Amino acid sequence: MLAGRARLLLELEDERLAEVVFAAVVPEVESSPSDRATVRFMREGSRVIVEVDAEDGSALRASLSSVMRWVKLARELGG
Amino acid sequence: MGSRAKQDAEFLCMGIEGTAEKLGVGIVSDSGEILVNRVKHMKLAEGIHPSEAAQHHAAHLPSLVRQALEEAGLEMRELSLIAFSRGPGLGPCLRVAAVAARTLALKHRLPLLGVNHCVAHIEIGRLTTGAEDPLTVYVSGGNTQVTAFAKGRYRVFGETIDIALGNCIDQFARELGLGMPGGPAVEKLAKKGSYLPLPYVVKGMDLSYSGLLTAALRLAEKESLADVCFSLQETAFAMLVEVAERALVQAEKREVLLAGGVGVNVRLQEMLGEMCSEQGAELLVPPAEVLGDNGAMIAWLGVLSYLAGARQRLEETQVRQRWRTDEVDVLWR
Repeated sequence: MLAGRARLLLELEDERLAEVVFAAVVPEVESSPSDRATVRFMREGSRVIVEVDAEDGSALRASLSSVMRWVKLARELGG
Repeated sequence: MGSRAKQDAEFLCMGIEGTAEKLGVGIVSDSGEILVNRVKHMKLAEGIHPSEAAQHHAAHLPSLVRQALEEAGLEMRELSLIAFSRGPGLGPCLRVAAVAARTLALKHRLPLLGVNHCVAHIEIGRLTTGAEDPLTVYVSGGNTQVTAFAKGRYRVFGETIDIALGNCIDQFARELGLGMPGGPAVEKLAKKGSYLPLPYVVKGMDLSYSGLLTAALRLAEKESLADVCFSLQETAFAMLVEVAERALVQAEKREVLLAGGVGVNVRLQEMLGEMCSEQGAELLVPPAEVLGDNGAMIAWLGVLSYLAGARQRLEETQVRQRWRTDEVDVLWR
């Protein structure tokens, strides 16, 4: 199946919120087991960045869904 | 429960429970007062799909936190601690609860503790029943274990080696179209049934429910549903009571505490009650609202752990899907 790669740049309201979201989510990104995808999660100022390299489209979608779910939740509770 | 002003020097913990299909937010004080205990049940047509349950929790957590604070008449800054269910449980669900707890702790600069879900069931049971040193029979959709405190930990005296008791009953009900969760429907039908033999599987101090489930489903193809429901309950509960009775004698306890959602079953309470009276022990059953998964139990274990000196750095709060009861150091006893 086709390999997949994605890079998302998510601009948050301010740097403090980005710090909170990043710190709340990064332990999950580091501990999520997946043999089929590698996720990198970074912060630059008020922006968080998600990069996924996956072996196939399903793994790409699954990784992106998980990280986006956590970021959305943290943004809502942290904002 | 309800709105009231925070008292001076009161230690208040918000607990977030999210190990399976139920989402809970509770607030408990250091005196053991449950200020609020909100639980959001995910509607299930079939079994739990972990990713869908995680999505449910993520969608409802912000409003559940707001409602809990409103009901308690508190603001986040009045809290002293955030606790969450770190494990054991379904990975996607645990991760949502963990992210929410971390966010609240970071935003409001509060300490954070990830606590063990099974130990939380034991401690909320002790709090609400006044049990001092019980043998705990913990039965739910995901867990079946008989535990007792010895040398600093809750030791597992007996447990299921395959599926949980609640899972056995739920799967049986689901296959026969009785709805989810299946416990109440099976319990109701069982009242009109008579006994038919089913495999009774106790191995040493451990239980096996998977063969019983298969046999009960086969029996339901040719016998009356009421009889099979009755026989399933009698067999499954008798196995559990046998293990509990031997553990009670071995651990030398005088109290039996029931915990977990299956604990609401009246027939199970009767059978455990009979065994307890024969052994001269007391059966203690917590109120229904804290028997099943809930946020108050997580909050209360957070209070106990934190005040006994437990601390976790943020990077130590990663979820633990297979965190056993007997891996937790019980610092507060």
